[in-house]
Amino acid sequence: MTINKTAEGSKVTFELGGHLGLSDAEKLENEVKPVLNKATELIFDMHDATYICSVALRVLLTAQKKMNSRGRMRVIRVPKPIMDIIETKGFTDIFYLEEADADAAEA
Amino acid sequence: MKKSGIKQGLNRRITLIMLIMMLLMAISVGVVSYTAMRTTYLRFYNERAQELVHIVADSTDWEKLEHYVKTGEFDDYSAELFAFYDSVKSNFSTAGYLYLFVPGETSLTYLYEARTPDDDPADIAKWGQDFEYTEYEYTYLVPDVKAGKAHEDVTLMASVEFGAGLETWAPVFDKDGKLQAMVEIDYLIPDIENNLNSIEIRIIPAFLLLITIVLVLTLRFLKVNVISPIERLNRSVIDYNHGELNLNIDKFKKDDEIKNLATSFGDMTARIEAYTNQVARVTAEKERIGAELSVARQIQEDMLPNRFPAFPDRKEFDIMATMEPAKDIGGNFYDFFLIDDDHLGLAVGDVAGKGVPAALFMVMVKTLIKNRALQGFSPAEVLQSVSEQMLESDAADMFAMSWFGILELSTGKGIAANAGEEHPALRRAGKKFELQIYKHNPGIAVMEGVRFRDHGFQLMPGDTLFVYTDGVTDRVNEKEELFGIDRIVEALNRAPDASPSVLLQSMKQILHDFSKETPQNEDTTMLALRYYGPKGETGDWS
Repeated sequence: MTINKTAEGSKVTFELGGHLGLSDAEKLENEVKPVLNKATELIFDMHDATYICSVALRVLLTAQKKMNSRGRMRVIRVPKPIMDIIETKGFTDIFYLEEADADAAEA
Repeated sequence: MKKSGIKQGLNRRITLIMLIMMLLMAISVGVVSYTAMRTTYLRFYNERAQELVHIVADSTDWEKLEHYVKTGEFDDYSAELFAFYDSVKSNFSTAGYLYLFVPGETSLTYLYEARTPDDDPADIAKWGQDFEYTEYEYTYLVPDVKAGKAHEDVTLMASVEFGAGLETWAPVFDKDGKLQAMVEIDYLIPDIENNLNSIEIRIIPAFLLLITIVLVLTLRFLKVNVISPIERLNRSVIDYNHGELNLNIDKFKKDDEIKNLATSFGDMTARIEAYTNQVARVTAEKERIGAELSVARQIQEDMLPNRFPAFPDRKEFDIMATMEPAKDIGGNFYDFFLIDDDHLGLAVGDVAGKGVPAALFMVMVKTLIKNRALQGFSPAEVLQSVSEQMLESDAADMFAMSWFGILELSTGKGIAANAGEEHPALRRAGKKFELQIYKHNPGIAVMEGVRFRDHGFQLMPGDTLFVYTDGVTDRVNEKEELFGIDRIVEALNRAPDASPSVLLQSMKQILHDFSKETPQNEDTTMLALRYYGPKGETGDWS
């Protein structure tokens, strides 16, 4: 798993790459949590991700809930395998998603 | 407590070395002092002899001695002169000779030999007596005579006849400056030797005594300041090795390296002690927790219905379910129960997370699902209610995926709600398993305000339904590959006609072959149900 964080002012982007398994979820939480109180816009760029487990999704879920009151959060450039996981787990209506295809409609 | 061999060795070695060193020092001091003293003595004697011989020679007036020289008879001058000679000899501090002689080629001719009252007249040389040169005289006197000078060399050992001695001489010149006679003084070295020896005899015992005192003091010092502390420390280390800690830091009085060593040793043992205690505590704690978790896992497993065949008297269906736990206690569950005589409830689920919190969450969810279902609500309503209740219970951001279905046994009509669980697989009789894909609700307690939706389906006699958690999909092998839903379908279709138990056995085997020894993070839960129609007409009870 790789996490690349970039910040422009209060807009923070996390690029998540590779396999986000159970053991990676805690690392993800440690990176994301401190940002939640400061950022007004939060982006998760999934284009390099190959898998995401439930617990990692929970980190994103917490972030989405928090950002819903503070600002906005989007999950962008979601590749098909990740999309499948998100759909199976019923999270399609929870996140503001943009699929990897250029013309994908926002969920 | 046995005395260590090391202590003895150190003590003995140091004592031995000091003894040897002291002895060597004593010997070298003795030799050096003897040699130095002897050299100095000889030089002093030599100088004094030379001084004296010069004085005597200078006092000897050859012209005035003419009468005596020719006749050997005393006259006023010679009597007075030779009385002077005698008094000089009597003032010798050591035995010796003083005489005036005329030097020849190979012998000397005595003119006068000084004498003291103690001398035996027979031993005194007479006027005109010839005497052959000693070897020393021959070697050195003759050249001095020829050169007309006094003897200047430092002494060497001289003739055997009179013992070792030193000899020196000074010339007497006539009024023309020609050398006519020599005055010679011989000192006897045995006397010198005796003097030296007597001094040495007094020095050596004194020195030996001094050495002994120094040795004893040094050894004492070493013992108190070095050997004893080391012994003490050594004993402490050995005792510690045998399990006894007895270091008393106050016994190390001097603030030096040995005390440092002792202090460090003390600190180290304290740390070892603390560490050992900590390890013991942690191990005990771990074992306790491990034991509790074993019990918890056992309770978790026992909560899931595990008596099979589950409804032996119901011909409409056959059901089998398994839950294989991961390495840590987890939150997977399955459940099945008759809601009423015609309706069977089926549930499969997994909590996002691990450990006791997940297990506790699972217990609540499973119980609430059954409770709500028994009240007659539809799957969506059941999951909705459970979701709201769990959100209220403020269970720290936890949620659970779950599939819950209700099958009407008389008709094969089913309703299900999928809250984020994997796509179930359905095999129509005579055909192959296919994934049932439709829109899923989010998991239980994911978010407020979610509307769960029911999904209807129809089972025909001979159809098999397979429901599972993501422990199956996410099964991982040593290359970190996931099993995946394609492999699930393919695996199911290896034995599509199998009864639920055989099917699950087969799936278990295939999954184990895939992951081999690789430990899994997720519980693996599978449920299979075959529908035989309202009267069980297609049932084959193999």
